[in-house]
Amino acid sequence: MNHTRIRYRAIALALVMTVIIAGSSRLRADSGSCSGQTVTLPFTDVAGSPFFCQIAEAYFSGLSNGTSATTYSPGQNVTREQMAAFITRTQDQGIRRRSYRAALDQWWEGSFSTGGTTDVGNGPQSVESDGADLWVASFGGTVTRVHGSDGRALGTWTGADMADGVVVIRGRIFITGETSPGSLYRIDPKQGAGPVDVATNSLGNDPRGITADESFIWTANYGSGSVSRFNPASGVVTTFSAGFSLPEEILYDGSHIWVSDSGDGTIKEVASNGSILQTLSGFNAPHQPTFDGSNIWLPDSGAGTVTVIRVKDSQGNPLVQPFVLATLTGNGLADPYAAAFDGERVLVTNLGTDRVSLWRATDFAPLGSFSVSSGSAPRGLCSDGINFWVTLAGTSKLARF
Amino acid sequence: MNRGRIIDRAMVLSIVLALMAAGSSRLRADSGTCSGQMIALPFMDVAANPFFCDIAEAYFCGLTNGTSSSTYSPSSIVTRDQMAAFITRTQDSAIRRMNRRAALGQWTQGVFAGGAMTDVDTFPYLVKSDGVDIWVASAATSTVSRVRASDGHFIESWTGASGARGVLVARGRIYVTGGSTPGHLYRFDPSQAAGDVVTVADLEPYPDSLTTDGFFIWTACNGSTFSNGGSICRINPTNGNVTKFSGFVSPNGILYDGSNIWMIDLPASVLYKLNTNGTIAQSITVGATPYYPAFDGTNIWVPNKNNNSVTVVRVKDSVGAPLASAFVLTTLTGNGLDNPICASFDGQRILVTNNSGDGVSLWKATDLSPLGAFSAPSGSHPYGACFDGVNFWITLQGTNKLARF
Repeated sequence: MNHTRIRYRAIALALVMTVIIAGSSRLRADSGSCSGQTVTLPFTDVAGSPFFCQIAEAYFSGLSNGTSATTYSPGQNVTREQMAAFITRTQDQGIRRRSYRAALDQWWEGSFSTGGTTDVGNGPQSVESDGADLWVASFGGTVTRVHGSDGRALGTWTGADMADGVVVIRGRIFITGETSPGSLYRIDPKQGAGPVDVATNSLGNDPRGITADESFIWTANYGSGSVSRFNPASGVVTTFSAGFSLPEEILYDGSHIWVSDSGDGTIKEVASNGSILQTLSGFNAPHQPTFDGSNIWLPDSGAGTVTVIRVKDSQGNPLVQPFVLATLTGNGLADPYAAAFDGERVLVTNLGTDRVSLWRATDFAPLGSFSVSSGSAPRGLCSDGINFWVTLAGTSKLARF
Repeated sequence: MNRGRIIDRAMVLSIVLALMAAGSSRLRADSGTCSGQMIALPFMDVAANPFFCDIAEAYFCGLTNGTSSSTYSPSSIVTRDQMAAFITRTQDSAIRRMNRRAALGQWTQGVFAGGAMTDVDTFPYLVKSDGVDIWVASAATSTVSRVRASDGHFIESWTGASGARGVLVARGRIYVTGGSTPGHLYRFDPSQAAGDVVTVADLEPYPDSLTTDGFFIWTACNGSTFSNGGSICRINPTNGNVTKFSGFVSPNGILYDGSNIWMIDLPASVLYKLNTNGTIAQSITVGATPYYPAFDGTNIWVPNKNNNSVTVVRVKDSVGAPLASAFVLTTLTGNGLDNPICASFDGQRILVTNNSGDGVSLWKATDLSPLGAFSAPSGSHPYGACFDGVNFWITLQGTNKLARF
């Protein structure tokens, strides 16, 4: 018997043993009883574990794959890097499974189609959802109500001269009118369509963005470089000018008001008394941001970027020092104008290039960009829990995505 | 003093000491300030911990119970089996708390009630929700019924959908399959007044269920003999162009998981993963006579009618990306399965209709644990199922009703 032969035999024997071991470990897969049924896992080291059923769930729902095809290593310590994988998978899985889209079996990212558009008033700017219907403010002076489930236009309210921003709050729809001085219109959605009410016409000049906190309606007044605070109970308007240049948009993150200002390229954190708490600068032309529960996403049309700003801490409390977390580029960004969050993803409109760009909100992973019809000028947008809805300023339509 | 008495006294003393220790540990429970309010926990080893408020939250919402009734052991190392418990509890708690049924205070698993059934057109097959209304395809009347989900009110019927079978809500339209040889894809605009459906395209014989990848509509076509010549059709909804992929026996169930189209070939007992160009990426053998599957974000659930089983197939990895090689995770039996036909996912649970068994079977989707079987009226023959965000809706072919569960 020569050396080579011995070596071949040794290799063959090793292969056979490997196959036997592999075969036997498959046979030795551990079983246990969970919720009254017998469960078998591919792991051979978890039998009798007090956490057998939890290991089974982690495996079945895709949170963990074990340390090898046949081992889970239950007694092994978890390192911080593994911990990061476990908690982010858990978070993402929870978000993915409980999204309304998942419940409706809609697993595609979204799409634009001619069948998914509704004619609205001339020059649509912003849109917000009340959970069932969409409210579209058009610069031509109308507010259109669109049924979310089937896209039917339900009614048009008139007299909203130069309508721009919309907020749904207190059982009413509030709309800014970009007049000088500025107007705040109001609609009672229980009533039939007709002329809007004028809640006040003494806001700062040219109000664009609008938001609401627990007590007040807030507007960003582009023309007069100010922010107005409207008390819906008393009708009193207080206007704050100190520190603002050309305020574009305004949002409330549950703690503070944030104002994007294209005059000095900043976003400002504002206290309820109108004083500026923080200013983050270095932007070119920041427009309509959105908040995702932790971060503000700020599209900058001049820079062609979206800046993600951390404003809350790990427990959801406001940060004393908000900071720039990341600046996103690519993914179809060109002239980005407005952002919206649907609980899982952030969609950004690119006004000049007829595209929208989509990211996963938790890890900023780009999910692609999608084109709208040429010349449509996608501008404002919102989510109704199922779809994003985008105003097409160029063609006076509301598009479902 | 005899020995027994000494022992008795020693026992009494130790009991007293134990009680004192227990009492003092209760008193020594740790407190801290979270969100401006004083919080006391039963643990005695977490005072002044920088994560005190996180530990409090984990305890208050049921994610952890500590290492004993009075200790949390904040510096102990977490092992992988403990981690499995932490992350699965976290996942389940988020899913349980965040679903719409929880917000509406509806904690029952579901129930069939006569008052919660709506008469629909004759011989209802498959069903889908747009979030507000339910759309039911009825084959015998060639119609699509619209039922308001909030109150079960029958709103209207769309006509002219010959042999209507499958239904899909996409792109702001309702798409319906029907017809024989040829089959048809129909469409209508739900914002318009009810009327005749519009034919988008002629399809291969006997189209069944349908899905979309966001742009194309994909239909599973049984084929004229139901034993060979079945195919898949991919329809461009903007121009009606149809691309046919043949070579299958008799496809019936089809779904999109966000990455791939998956199709069931019923007589072949195979689940196919398709590439976007229609070629087969993978084939997975499932149970006998599989019907309409459902996707839960990670796994595809395939009801096997003639096996009284459900095959659960892992198709996504831990971060939600498509697996190169999908595999059978497990096969579920029991739990009332009796000629299972159609699976549906509600974000938390999987429901399967039992066509002969006149009922449905329910599982928790994350750990595949059975939640029980529920009876529909005798002879009702449940067929299609969907979820609208609050309730499951089931077509009852035997009684021509749509049932809320």
